[in-house]
Amino acid sequence: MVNSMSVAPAVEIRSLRVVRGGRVVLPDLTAAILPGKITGLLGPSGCGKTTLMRCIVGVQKMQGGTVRVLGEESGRPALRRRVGYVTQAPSVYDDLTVRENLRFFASVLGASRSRIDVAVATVGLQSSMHSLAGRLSGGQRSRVSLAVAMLSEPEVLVLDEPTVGLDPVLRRQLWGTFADLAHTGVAIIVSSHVMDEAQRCDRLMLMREGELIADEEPEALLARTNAADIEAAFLALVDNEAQV
Amino acid sequence: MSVARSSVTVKTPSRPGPGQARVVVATARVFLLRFASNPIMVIRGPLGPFLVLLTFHLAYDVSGQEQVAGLDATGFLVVGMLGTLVWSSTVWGAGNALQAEIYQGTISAVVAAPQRLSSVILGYGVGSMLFNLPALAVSIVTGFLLGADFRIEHPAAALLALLCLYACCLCIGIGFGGLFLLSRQSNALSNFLQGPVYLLAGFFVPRSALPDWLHLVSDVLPISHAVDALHKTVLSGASVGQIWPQLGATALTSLIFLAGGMAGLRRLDDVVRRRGTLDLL
Repeated sequence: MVNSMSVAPAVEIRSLRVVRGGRVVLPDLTAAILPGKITGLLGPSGCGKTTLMRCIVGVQKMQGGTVRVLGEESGRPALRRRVGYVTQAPSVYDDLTVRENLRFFASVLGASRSRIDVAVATVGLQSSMHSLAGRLSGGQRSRVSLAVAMLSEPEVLVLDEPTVGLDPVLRRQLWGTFADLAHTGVAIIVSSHVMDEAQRCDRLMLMREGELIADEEPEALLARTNAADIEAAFLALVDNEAQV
Repeated sequence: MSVARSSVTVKTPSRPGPGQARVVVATARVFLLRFASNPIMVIRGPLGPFLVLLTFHLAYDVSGQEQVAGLDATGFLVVGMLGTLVWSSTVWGAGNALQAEIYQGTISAVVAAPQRLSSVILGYGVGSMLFNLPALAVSIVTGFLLGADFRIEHPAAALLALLCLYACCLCIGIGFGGLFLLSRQSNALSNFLQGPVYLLAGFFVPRSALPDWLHLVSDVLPISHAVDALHKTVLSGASVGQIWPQLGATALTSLIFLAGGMAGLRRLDDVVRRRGTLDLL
């Protein structure tokens, strides 16, 4: 892991404000995400996790504040190879094989063909290389999406609910993959509404109604709230907020 | 599972983008792979032009019209069919492929990638163009079967005119392609524009039959001049030297469309990114 004291943040968010369809999704959010760490974005559906991720990737209009990724304004063309993004729904062509999908995306990402085998091995899909993506299970298609995002060896990997619908064994494997990637210095941002996945993160950003109600390491959060698990900690924070 | 990375590199300088030619080839290849696997598309491709050509031929035949604007009527229809095919395959083919990306959920992965969007649109145009080559061949063979009076005295000139037609449609496609990113109504727009373009470009009705004011509008379209060049080389035996005015007008208007299309595409690209609507349609 990278020492958090000695490395500049991979993502710096300052006073971020996003309004969508007349609704304030993110009123005023400030946070920093470090390289070499798995940062978990947790919170109930509709709390602004995906919107925040889209701001980091640069595909979301911002009404205020700044988001800088690897020292540059988010969404800049120069960042596109350095930031991997996996959307909630798998971004793959159902009528192409896994290999053909990866071959195409390697071209548009400017990645070398040799990266295809590495990415497929990373997500454990070697045996499905020649299968049509449309014939794979939901979990396998998600892994193809993940392999696509890893083709260009991104330094920031943004994963929107990557483990939804996966069986426990596969979820464990993927979290192992995320940890391995983080060890190489990649900043990994994973959103989830499943609180029990929080323990696998190095740092947690708990969100509620567009605001950060916690931004710290899981152990510190548990100690501060005197809770047995992250869900209980989340509820304790919500209760505290209500009392204030 | 294992991760084949060993070094910690967080701060690296921006890397150069991929070769745009590689993107065009890859996109065209994907288009062909996807559509060639669909038997309905494979059959529909050549069958559609055959039926349209036959219908128009019968209509002209029933009316007793053997010549159109001094040209052989069946040959005129075949050239119009070629124009229709090139236009629909390059302009709408690229746009429809982009829209299919939106529905399939792959568009943000493509647009957020570092390549130029224009290269992707061009790749789809080229792929669609190649996919429609059998339809082009069927149209020409049908023309022969229906007794078209082709007078190609300079095959190189005819080929140049056809290539010019493709090139100008690819230029227009880059401009129109971006519209398909904006809204799911783009298909309706393309259907709405189809009729007027067919009329203005002189596909099945000679441009000389248009009122003066419509003729002026027609002159703005590069495809009108490219079709004129094709008429002259395929039906009147014109040489390259005789079609320079048409080729020049095609090149000039195509460049204007291309420049406007590229600028519009950059703007649209920015708009859809900022709106965050790419994968939310």
